[in-house]
Amino acid sequence: MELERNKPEFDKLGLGIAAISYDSVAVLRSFADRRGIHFPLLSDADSKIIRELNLLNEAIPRDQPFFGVPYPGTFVLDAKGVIVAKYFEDDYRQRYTSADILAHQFGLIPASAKGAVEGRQLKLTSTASNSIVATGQRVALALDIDLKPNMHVYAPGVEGYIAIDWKMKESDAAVVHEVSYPPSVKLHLPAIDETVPVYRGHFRLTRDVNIAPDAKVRAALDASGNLVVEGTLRYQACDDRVCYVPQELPVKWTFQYAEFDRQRAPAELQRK
Amino acid sequence: MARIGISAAVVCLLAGVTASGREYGPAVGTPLPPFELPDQGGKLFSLKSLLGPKGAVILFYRSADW
Repeated sequence: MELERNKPEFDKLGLGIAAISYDSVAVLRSFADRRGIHFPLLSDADSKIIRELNLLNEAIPRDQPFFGVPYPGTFVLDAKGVIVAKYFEDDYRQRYTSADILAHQFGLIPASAKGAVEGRQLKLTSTASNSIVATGQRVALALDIDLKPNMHVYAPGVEGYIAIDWKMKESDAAVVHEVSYPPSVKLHLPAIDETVPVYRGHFRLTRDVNIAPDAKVRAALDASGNLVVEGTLRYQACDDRVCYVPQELPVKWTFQYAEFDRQRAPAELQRK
Repeated sequence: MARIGISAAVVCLLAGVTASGREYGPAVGTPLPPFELPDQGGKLFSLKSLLGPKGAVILFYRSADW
């Protein structure tokens, strides 16, 4: 389970972790033994808490064994148990990874799926919240940009200049979400008496991707069985005196693909 | 560690509202109601017992079995 891998990060942040499902204690015990899970997998076998929290997936007919499952998602609580953030998706096949939550909530992106490109005016480092991905997971991609001294690039919303623009190549294997931009700084250009939104020094762009259904991902895997998602970063850099020719740098993330785990609890333990 | 900027998408996300507009669970800023549930070893955990010095991350998922 992806959360187990990230447990040390949550420990360091002083956050407890638990995962709740409608599975019986016996099913959870079998799963935890098989997969080496050491944090609490809590059993809400009659979906009482799931219902109380208004998380029950009502789209599932009552006579199905799947009835009683929650919409998947995560609550981030403070030390008093007050909700500080929620991460939920409408599609029950999709879920935020705990690494994605670490990225959004705590700005933590491990140096996984790492790549670096050195441009003339900046250095670009690509990282991701997860190095191994599975179908339906929502993971974060990040671009760390280090501008060389005295350089700036234009932030979105700028007029008359080329704003930084991160595009992703179309892929059937991953659904790409919008870019999250950090706040820009206002730069006054005395020569032309204009104030423009820019980035200087170091800044980070992030965006999420949802990993597509298994068949689509398989069809897109490379020769080594990895999932590659790629795009470009376009920008125009300027220093105090001159603007340089707009540049376009390739960006790429390579993930190991974890096949869907079809192993189940012994038949006598399964929900009927 | 650099802080991530708050875009409209993230604000929407932090408010816990998805594209459909359905709200999942109690609102941000309100407490998660208390519960007591057994873990894989049959040991009972209350919400309170799960909270670390900075809080907790509580995940709801479909099933460990399918």
